[in-house]
Amino acid sequence: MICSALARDFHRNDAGGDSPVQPVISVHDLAKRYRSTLRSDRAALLGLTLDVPRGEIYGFLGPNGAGKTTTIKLLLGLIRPTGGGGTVLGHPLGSVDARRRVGFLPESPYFYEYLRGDELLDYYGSLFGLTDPVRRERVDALLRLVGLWEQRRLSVRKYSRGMLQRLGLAQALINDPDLVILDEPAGGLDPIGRREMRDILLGLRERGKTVFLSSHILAEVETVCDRVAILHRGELVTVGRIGDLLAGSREMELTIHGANGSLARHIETIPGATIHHGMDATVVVVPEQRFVYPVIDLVRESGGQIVSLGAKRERLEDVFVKLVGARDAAGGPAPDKNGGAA
Amino acid sequence: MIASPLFVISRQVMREAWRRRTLPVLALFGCGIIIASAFLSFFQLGTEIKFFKDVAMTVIFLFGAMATLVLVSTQLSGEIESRTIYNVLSKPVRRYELVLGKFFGATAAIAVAVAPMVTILMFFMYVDQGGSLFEAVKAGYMLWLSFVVLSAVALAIASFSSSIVCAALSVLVYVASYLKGAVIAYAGMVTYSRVAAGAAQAFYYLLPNFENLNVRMAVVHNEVVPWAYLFRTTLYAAALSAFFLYLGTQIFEEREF
Amino acid sequence: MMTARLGHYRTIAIAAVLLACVAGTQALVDVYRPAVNDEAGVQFSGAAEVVRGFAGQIRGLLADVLWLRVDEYAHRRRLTGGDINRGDDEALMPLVRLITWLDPHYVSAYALGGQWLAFHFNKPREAVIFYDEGIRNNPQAGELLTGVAFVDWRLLHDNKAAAARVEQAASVQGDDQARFQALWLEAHILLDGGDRAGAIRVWQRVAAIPGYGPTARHFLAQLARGGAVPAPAAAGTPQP
Repeated sequence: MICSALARDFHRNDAGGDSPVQPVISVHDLAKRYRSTLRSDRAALLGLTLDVPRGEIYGFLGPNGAGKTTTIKLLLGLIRPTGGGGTVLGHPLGSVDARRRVGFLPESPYFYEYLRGDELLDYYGSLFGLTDPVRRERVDALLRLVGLWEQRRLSVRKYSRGMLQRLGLAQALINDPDLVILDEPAGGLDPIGRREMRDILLGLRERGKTVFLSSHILAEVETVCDRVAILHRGELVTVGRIGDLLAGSREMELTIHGANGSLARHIETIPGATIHHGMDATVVVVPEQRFVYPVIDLVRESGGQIVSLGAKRERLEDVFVKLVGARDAAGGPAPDKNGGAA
Repeated sequence: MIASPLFVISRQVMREAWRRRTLPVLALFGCGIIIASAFLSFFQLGTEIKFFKDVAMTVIFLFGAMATLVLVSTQLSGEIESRTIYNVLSKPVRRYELVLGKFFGATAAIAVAVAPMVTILMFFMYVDQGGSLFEAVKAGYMLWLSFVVLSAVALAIASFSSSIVCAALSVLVYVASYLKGAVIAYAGMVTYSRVAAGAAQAFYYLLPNFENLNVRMAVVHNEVVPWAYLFRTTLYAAALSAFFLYLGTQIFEEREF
Repeated sequence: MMTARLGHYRTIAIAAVLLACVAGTQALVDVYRPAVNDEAGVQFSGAAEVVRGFAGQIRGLLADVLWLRVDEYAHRRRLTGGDINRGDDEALMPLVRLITWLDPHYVSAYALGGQWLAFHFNKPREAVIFYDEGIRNNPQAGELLTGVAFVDWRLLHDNKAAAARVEQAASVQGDDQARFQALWLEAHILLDGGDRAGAIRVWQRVAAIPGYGPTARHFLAQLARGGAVPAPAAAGTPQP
């Protein structure tokens, strides 16, 4: 009787809780404090409120210790929140129903070393209740997708770091999840591997899946993600589409040949302007376009030559460093880059 | 057929037990010692078979207990220490399913490890006409029951400790369970207080009593173990295992990773 | 918080119920314990409980290993205090005591220990107590009954008690030869005590044992003539 009840529960149809317009992840005031016996409590997450729309690749960024992994663990139920709550695919955080449709790749994944690659995927597929034919088909397809088909019969003990990462991605996709949570997915991968990973993630998005991606490799995030959220010291600093985050820069950049010392002194009088002396050229960055003309005049007077002039292209890394750095310097929250959340 | 996570995990535990070669090696050593002891003849005629049966039952007990501790203490604690638990708990697996799956898998693996040793014991008993083979089966079953209880105790400890601490504490509980009789005896000797005597009695009833599952003498001295006793001790082992498994699952439910 | 507290109370309640089941099934098992466990009515001292506790499941094997030592001491002869027959008696008794604690069904240990106490340490009353303990733990051990009968007869000169012991030994022996030897001993004990009629009755019972008729008739004839009948010797006793 117990076995049939368990089986019923295991195979219960997900009748409700998730709709196409509802965010895939929705958390409000999510907090986590760790109790310390000797010192005061440590706050890993302070009231995170976040919605992850369906069908996007969502980047979750932050410096070390910002609370990214803590957030992911809260979503999966590996730890319990000390405040707030939320839903994943319409189900409470960490619920079995939610996990049934989620795939997870942990940071630096560890697997059973005594199993072969195909056996490992088969085992994880069994945990989702996949039937034998479905499981076999998926295991074969995923091994080919992640480029481990030739090594499928090797024991995991013999896998390299990159191969483990690929295997980790495969096991995260074994149940054809609606939501894929990846913690540092590019770790250990060579440039080709990263390219392949990127293609897989883009393919998932095309199929309507949602990817929640935590990474330190901002160049990759900038290429792949539709939207990013930046976390710092347990708090959400900013969230928005990549385009919006990078489009706010009004800085102008001038490249100058033949600049002399007097030019530098005069440039320093312009508020917000910076000057970088290189081997062959000097680069001047001014905060707004209206400051360009005084600089042009100064260059002409000093006998220099303007080589190029244009809007300064900002990278995600620049935005990240600026925001986080400002908070670090202030010792607390800093204004959002765009003057408000996206 | 779709298997529940509990069954999948149990099957995985069995596969791990044999792939890691710990259980097969222990079982092989145990069988080897039992076979070797069958050819020792230090005793006068008539007591050889007693010595052999004592050796065999002791070997089955020691190697079975060792196999139980090695296997079970590395299951839950080992998964946490090696961080493979993230891959399991992020799947639709309830925490109690993980604990129970480990338990059933371990007890099944131990049964497979103990069976050849019991079979060899029965073979030599048959050859030497050294008593009832059926009683040997019963004694083997009771030994396995004691390993089942030990597994439950070890899993309960593993739910909050590392693998080494788990193994050490499990051995401690096992040894302490045999000293229960001594505690009662000394309580009766050194105190006239009813409260103290009652406390000693409560101690007797509430801690594991592995002696219940010791029917080795039935094999060695050719006694018969009544079915009623077998049934009652099975109930006892089931109740004890259920208690420790419940404790273990509740502690594991609260644990964070 | 209220929900969490209720959850904790529920956990405690379920654990208490399970613990009650454990206690209940332990009580059920206790009912059957004497029938199957080697403790079968044995009253162990506190020290014995501790030794048995630490030995655990391997106490049977420990008893066997200690018996190896006892066997060696019993048969090894060296000059001890000028007496070549003494052997390593001093080392023997503690080991025998341990063996009987570990395995109260170790009949050989009780038999040897009783003999040594009676005939080597000259402590017949202690020997009888030791034998009695062995007989309580092993009521079917004819060897112990005949052993204590010898002590009663030769050292304590209690022919009546000795005869009763041997009679009991004869009743528990399943083997014809063992029964014959027990009855033969009983007949001689009775004769030594002056009960000629009793001895004759015993020999008549021996005559009913298949294969021992001629022997019984021979001794009956001797008794009828009024002659002495040679007494059997207890195994291991020093011969005059």
